[in-house]
Amino acid sequence: MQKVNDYCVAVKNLKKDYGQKQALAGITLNIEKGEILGLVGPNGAGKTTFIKLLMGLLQPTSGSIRIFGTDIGAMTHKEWRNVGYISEEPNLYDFMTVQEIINFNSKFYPDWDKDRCSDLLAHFNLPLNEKIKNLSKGMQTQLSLVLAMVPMPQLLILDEPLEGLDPLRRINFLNLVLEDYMRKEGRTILISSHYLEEMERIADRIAFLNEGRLVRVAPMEQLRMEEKTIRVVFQKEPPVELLQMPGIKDIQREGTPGFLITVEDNFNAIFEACSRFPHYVLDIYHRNLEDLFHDYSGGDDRGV
Amino acid sequence: MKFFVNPRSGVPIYKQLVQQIERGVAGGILTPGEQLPPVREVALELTVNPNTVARAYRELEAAGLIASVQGRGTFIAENIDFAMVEKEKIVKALIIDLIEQAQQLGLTSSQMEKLFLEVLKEWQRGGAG
Amino acid sequence: MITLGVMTVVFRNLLAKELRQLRWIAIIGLLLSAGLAVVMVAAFRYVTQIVDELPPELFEILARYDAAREFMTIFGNYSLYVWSQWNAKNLYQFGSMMVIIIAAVQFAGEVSKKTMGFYLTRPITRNQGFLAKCAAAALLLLVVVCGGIFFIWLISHFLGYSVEWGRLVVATVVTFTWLMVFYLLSAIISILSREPVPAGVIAGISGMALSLPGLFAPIRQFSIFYQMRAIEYFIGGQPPLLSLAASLVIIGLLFFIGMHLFRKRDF
Repeated sequence: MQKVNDYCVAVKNLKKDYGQKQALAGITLNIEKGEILGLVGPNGAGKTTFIKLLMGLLQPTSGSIRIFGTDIGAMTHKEWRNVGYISEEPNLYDFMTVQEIINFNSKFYPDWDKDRCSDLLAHFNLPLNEKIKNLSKGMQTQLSLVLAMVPMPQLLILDEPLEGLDPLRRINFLNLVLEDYMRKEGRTILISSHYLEEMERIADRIAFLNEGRLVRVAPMEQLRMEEKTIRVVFQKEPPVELLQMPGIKDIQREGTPGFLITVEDNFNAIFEACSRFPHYVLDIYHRNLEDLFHDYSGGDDRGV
Repeated sequence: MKFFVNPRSGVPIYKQLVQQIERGVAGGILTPGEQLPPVREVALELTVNPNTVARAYRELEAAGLIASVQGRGTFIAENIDFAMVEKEKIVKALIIDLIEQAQQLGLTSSQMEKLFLEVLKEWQRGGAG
Repeated sequence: MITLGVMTVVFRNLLAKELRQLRWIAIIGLLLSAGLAVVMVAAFRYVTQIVDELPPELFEILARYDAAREFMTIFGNYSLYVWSQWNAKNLYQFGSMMVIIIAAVQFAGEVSKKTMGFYLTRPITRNQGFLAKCAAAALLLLVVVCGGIFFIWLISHFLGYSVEWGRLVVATVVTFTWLMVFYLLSAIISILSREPVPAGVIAGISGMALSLPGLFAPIRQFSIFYQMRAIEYFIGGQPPLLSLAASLVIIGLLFFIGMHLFRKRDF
């Protein structure tokens, strides 16, 4: 059992209401030091609300948030230096030039690394003397990333950072995040995105959020190992116990002895049991994050 | 050797890497003593979480297929026999698959044995002629 | 509990950013005060009867004070003229407009442009963020007020008029502190708004509501705009200690209310 203070982020029973509307309905989630946690869910699931609560931009209705073991209400500005953040929408001062916002930002960090900053700006080809209002959304996100990464924060929080980037730029962006992540041991990243393929690449764990609730939190590899669908056509009606084995998430009948069994855990045992019972067909379908996303979003198509 | 991953396939990325390296060794693309690229490099090359690459390397090391030398890097194990072991492992998996499918179609063990030897002889004749 | 860290690099950085962001207000304010000073001073020679220039409500007051009549004779009316045009008219009017705009831009403006999310996720505390904004507003106002007095002095000097500067400056300090009261009130309204234009309009309406007591002689001291003019000091000759003390107490009160609201607000 880990103590609360050992986690990078410890969120307990976090609730947020906007007037009558409940945006988050009691989230409990611990983010381990050193992991990359992917936050996924349909639009309006509460991802941005959750992240804004972590950053202290919103006041929780109830519940607690600790970062590095300290309640965020009690964190000093020195502790906040170890938290980097990119918001969902561009939020930089558009009357400043790239150089001006860098000067502004650098003064909050006593060990601002000028060389690293120049390298990153050059990497993205960001024009120093251009006003921010003249940059594209993608460039503004890249600039936000530079501002967030140069201080080498222990915790980096990225809210939909891939939005507005073409596939090549998304990979480029993620590579830079990964390269930065590997610069120092034990750094933690929380990233929300609906680009599921990219999340499959980089996340250690995935947290599914839907309608303000955490529907599932599991290591990426476990999701891939355990979350599978078995198509089986038995020769006769199978015993009830087989269809009630732990780990079965969903069963759909196909004809009389045919079944589509969706498994979220305990896959090997369930498959064994199916293969021992006389059958005509026994196939496994691997399911990727997108399939799971549809399951956990309640199967509807609200903006994937 | 160039690595590839398909994040959409549903097969864990570390498993995809393990399989590629196993096959690379079995097929002779990776030779004993050859150095594997560092975790960091593979992670950036493929844009995948470095922990995933490290896990693939750990798994291969536990299987004895690769060995990491402190401060020098990760290498394909020197013992050549491993290649044969790997080849056998791959073929065994294919045979198991075959048996399962045959069983699903209702073939008995003796029928399968007979069929296998028949096909093998036929193939050898075809190959010779 | 409340650590503001005023002397730090971080605070100076926040202040510099606010001033940078609002510099056009300072420039327009200075140009306006320069223009008004020119018009005001140049117009004096055409003013044969200072009393004609005074708002009707002042007649009543002036009639009650012997000192007022005295000043008119002693200084050939110029000081009184300058005060009546500057403190009692131009400064409090465009000063009020200025603080409404500053407050609207600083809070609701940053929310509507989404930059509040950036501002508050810098490693600062919300108290620091709030104090920097208030300090910037006070500095800007001070620059424009000092600039105005400087222009009046310059042009008066050039045209050979002399003013009772000490008293004009004291009256202007009173105007300034009451303008800060109105700024903090506008800031609170702006904190509670999401768009700058409604925030400014509501602040303007609130200002008008607060000026209502000024229409009724027995309660006119309760109008902040009445206080801004420093009438009782300049005409009546009473030291403005009570007015100053009252404005400072209200500033303190509104500052802490504003800071509390800013700390608890969702952005």
